[in-house]
Amino acid sequence: MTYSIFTSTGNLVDAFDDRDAAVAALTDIVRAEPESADEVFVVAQDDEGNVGETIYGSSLHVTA
Amino acid sequence: MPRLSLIQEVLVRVLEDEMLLYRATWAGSDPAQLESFRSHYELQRPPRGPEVRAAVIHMAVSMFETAEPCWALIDRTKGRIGDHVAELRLVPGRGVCAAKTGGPLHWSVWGNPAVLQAAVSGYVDRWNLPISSSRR
Repeated sequence: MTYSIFTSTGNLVDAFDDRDAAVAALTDIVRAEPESADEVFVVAQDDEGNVGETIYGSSLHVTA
Repeated sequence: MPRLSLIQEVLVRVLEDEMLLYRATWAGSDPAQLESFRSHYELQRPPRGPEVRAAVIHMAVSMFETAEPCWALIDRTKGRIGDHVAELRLVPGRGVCAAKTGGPLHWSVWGNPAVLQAAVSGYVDRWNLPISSSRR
């Protein structure tokens, strides 16, 4: 599985092969820029590219 | 323990052959379509998180080898990234470069947004069928 961070522009920010690493990177982005929470997200893709789970920054519990 | 991004090395290709890629966008008649071919850098968005480490990603436009991931992203963003999936025929000699980056089927593309927009050769629906010009 690949876990990619995209924004609502449709452009990639980063990609990981580990879910926790991707969520941690997303959390860091939201912590640094809280207003981005609604526009950054992680999508999971299997090896064929099928898109699965999606995690929006706004769904995370981020503390300053 | 540091997180290991999949983006450690970016092999940028100067196009020597035609390349077919797909991108979520808006209808050709919508002024927003041109904006959809701009990178975060061109949109004057500050680099976020990992983009600080890799300006090459900050300056790229995402595209896919097939239309399916584009439709999935459109659905998951509730249409915020567009409502059409464009097929782009990228040809050599127009300054376009591309690199395989990130997850399966994903490519980073660099090029003048107007050139990328001009490369739109058509639109495909959710079943990967061409959309006739009357529906664009």
